[in-house]
Amino acid sequence: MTLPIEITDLLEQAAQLGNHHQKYIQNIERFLPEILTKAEKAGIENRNHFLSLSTNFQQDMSFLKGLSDETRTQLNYLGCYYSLQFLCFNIINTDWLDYQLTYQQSRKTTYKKFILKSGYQLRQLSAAYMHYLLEIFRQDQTIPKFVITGVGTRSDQDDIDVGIVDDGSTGRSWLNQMIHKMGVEMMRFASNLHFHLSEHVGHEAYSASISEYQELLKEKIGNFVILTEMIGSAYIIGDEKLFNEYQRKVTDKYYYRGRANRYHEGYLRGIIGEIIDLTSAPYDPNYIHPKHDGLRIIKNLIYAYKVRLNIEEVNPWRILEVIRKTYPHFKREFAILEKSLSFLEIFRYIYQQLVVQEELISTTDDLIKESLQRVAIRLHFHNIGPHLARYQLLQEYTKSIQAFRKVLPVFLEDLTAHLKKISVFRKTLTPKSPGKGTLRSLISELSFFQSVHFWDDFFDLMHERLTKYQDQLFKDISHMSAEERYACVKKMSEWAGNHPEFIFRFCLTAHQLDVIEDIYQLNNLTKYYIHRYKRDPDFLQNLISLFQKKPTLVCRIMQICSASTLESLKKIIFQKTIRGKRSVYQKNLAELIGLITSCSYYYKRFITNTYTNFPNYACYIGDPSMFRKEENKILKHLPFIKSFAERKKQLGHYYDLNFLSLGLETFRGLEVQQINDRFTHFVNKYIQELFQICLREVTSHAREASKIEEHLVIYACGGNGREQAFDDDFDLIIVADQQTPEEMNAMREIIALMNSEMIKRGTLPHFRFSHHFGEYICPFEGLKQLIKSDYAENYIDKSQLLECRPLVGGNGIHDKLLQEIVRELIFSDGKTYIRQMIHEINQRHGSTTFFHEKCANIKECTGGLRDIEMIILIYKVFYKLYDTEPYLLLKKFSSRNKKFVNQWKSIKNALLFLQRFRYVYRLSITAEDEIYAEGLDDVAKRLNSDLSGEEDLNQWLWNQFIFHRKEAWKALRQLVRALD
Amino acid sequence: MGYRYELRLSGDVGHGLILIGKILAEAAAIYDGLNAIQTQSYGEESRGEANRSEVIISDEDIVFPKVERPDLLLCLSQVAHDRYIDQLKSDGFLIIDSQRVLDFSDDHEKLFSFPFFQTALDEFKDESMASSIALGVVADLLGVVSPRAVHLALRARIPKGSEEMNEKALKRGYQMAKEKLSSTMMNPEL
Repeated sequence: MTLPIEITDLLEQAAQLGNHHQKYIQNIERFLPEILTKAEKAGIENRNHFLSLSTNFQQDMSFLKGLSDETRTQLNYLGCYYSLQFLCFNIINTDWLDYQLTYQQSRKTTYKKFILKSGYQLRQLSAAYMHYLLEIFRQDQTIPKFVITGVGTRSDQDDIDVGIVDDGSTGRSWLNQMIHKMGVEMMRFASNLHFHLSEHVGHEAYSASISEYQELLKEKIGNFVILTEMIGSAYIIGDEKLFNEYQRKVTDKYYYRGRANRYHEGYLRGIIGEIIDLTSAPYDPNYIHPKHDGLRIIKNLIYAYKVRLNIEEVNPWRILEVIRKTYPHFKREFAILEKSLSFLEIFRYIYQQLVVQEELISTTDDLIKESLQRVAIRLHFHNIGPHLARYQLLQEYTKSIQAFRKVLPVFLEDLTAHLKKISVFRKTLTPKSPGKGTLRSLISELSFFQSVHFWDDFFDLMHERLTKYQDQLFKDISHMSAEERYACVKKMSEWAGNHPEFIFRFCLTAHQLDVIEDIYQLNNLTKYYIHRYKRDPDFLQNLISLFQKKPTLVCRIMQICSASTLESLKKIIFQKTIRGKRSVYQKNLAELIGLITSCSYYYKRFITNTYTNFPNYACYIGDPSMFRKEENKILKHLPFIKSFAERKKQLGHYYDLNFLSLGLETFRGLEVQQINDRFTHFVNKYIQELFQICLREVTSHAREASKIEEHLVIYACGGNGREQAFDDDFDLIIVADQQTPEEMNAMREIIALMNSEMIKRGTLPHFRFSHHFGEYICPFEGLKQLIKSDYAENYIDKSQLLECRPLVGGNGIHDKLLQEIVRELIFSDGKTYIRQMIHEINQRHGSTTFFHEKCANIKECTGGLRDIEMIILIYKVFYKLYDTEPYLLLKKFSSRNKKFVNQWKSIKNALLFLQRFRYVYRLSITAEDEIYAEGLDDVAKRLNSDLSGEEDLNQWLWNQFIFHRKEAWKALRQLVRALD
Repeated sequence: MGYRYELRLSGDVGHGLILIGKILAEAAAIYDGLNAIQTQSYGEESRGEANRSEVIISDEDIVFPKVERPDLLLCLSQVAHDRYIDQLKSDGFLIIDSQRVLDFSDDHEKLFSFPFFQTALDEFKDESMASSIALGVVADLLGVVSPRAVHLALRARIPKGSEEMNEKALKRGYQMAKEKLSSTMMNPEL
């Protein structure tokens, strides 16, 4: 029998769909002629929908079953009917979509209606089909009570996710055999059955009893993906009473009913954790994946609200409808969520229907591009000139992703607040009730929540509680024996699993406590934890992913890790090379660990500050030049910030970024003079900007501000005056002239504000001469009188003034200072100053000729930085030069008297070496001038990258140190003798 | 009404007093959000005949940066005690090393003596740990800067590899101060 025209038309249209529809076409071609012949014979051809979409699948299937007594034939007929109806409603729905998109205004509503309609028809058809399959397979036997529930999206056609609950009776094995047969049959004629839920529960292959579900979920929150399916399960066929009992006994407890409930809490923690994990994965427009890019995130979020607001509906759109009616918050945000959901769902549906049942779509593949064009046309996107429909489709896709991701934080914040309010940990972390508030009680409560990843609210709460109850949690530790302590650390590490976020955050939150001894315990915990998982292949992946998601957290945990823990971490990083997008994070994490293990605490502060304020710089640690972009951006925006506090904060970021990047470049071998230039440049800028901010904070009118600026000069002196880098203090001289008492008060206030701010950068301002005048500001006349007077350390104060370099303020005062103090009081009596300085050099070293080889202080040893500074000052006065930059002065000295060119060259070389040594030492070991033997190998390598590992690095460094000091000392002696 | 504490830390060269001063100032200013000023002069830094470091800690802006009447005086040598004792406020804390300052002023009720150097030698086999012990004592008696801030500031100022010993010494200092406070409540030293 040939197929009627309606069917050939249908099959022709179906051939336009994806290849996976061939199965249905073949089923129809193979069995439909036989069915039609038999139906005609039986006279029921008009009573059945063999040629069109049916309104009663159950009735049609009942007739079909009656056409044969033979089981296989019955199954073939039913399968053929399923295929026919399946194609029918797909084609009809496509036409409906086309019509709606042409004549209806709202795409969003059309998409939603389409998905709901298709899902409903598929469920109806599948339910009827399953019913008859079971009828055929059970024959005359009574089957145990069971219910088949639909879980998952319910509109997907690639598979049908089901969960099967049985009554736990002895007949369940037989039930499972039937389900198996049903699965095979559906694979042949319909969509595959996917028994996702019951695969994980109980001992039977396809079904599980209520008590098995209960047993699985009693002690631990478990896999929340399974939980989502359970919570979202909807009745398909079977015993309705059993389904109600299942809901009452198994899924009801995950809903919030007004009080603390660990099942609800655990589920929310799991689902929010997954939302955050999915969101942190970068969106790549070349490889789109509707499920990962958006659908799973959106549906998880909707389900979080379903349990939070106690909503019975299981379909995401229906849940949103209830939310709209019952939850007045975030209407706009929920509407955005729904819009993205509808678009992404229909896009995925149509793509799978027309192209292939795959989730990952490569948008750069030529074949896929063509297919996407077909999808775009089907969804009524049109070519506009060269702008093809598929471009618009993909643009819409990206827009949908971006739109819901933008509003996501609103929901997460809301859910976090809810969790914090209802959490069982409120009680656990409160040491009011006996046995609560201890580490043991915390571990015991946590055990239920294994494998969930969202703990933001918990750490907020923990921080609050720890602040309130101080060290209660840790008193518990100090009262434990070593074995008990070890057991706790072990338990906690095992509980946390190979995902390090919880342990890291726990340690960091507790680290904020004011109890020093706990830090050792926390270190033990991190150490044990890292040791425990170092061979776990997923640990590295999780660590890298955490670094990508929360670089600040990883950076901060490294700051509190002991050196040996960091070494273990370093080994883990190099265990295997990660490929793909994450490889850059592996490289940067390795660099960061390398940096932290080989830098001083003095420098680490800037790493932490930068990672806290600019987490994205995790990508740039290997390329410090990228920091400059951000530095310039901050400076540009500074004048547009209204709040003084915010301006100071931003300026602080500018300082920290510069410090960090210059430190990195110093390690990479930047020339000393370039280091000095760049350091001086950004520090000058920092102080100048800070002064302006504080000036405007104190003075209300521009006129008043300009008057103050005119009557005051801020000088950099000491190391900063000499344009030396990486000092840990900042020597300043503030000089004022002709000020009124009001102006003087304002100046004091400005300097006090500057002091409070500068100290936050880890650089202590020292206000020179303040001990003479009892305050920050030196009156010009007072300073002049002081320098004129005769007192023991007069030459030291003169040295301060000789090195001072104006940063801020009126030129008039500076000119006066140069004329009336430097020229008239210092240069004019240069001989006295030079004599006192030579005497000071001799006195400091005890002898004029002896070279102290074993001395280990970069600054104070013979031939060290202090001696070099002093000989430069002596000759600066001798030649009456006003410059302050040492290298420029050395150049001028050489040109003044060719006889001493070699001596000045030795001094210059020594200065270059000692400054570089000092910088690297400060950034690597400590901000002190005393040299400690520990860690000098790293310093040597950074000073000379050509050194091989076979050389004695430490010895090389000492030899260089002694050599340059010796040369400088020899030259200094000759230069001093020349003055005699 | 805000507060202002003036501290003078004194002793001989090599006692690490400038370091203690810097750590206290940074602990207060960087980690506890207070205001602080630390001063030292050329003599102390390069020759340190009578080593002295001064710190002012306040919860308000520090408009006057000079220490005139300290609220706390730490003396690690007899010379330092003799030189600076007169300026200590009558109700100020006087903290001395019990073995190096033998002739001390009995005008101060808040006198606390500790064997800083002996403890450093006995328990850490390193006399330089006396400064970290003294830091713990000063910070605890002063009670203005949090232990955590002191700990973090200490870490930022010491060389790598010496953390554990310095932190233990700091902790020992806190402990010594606490023990002394509880014993002097019953039995004042004077």
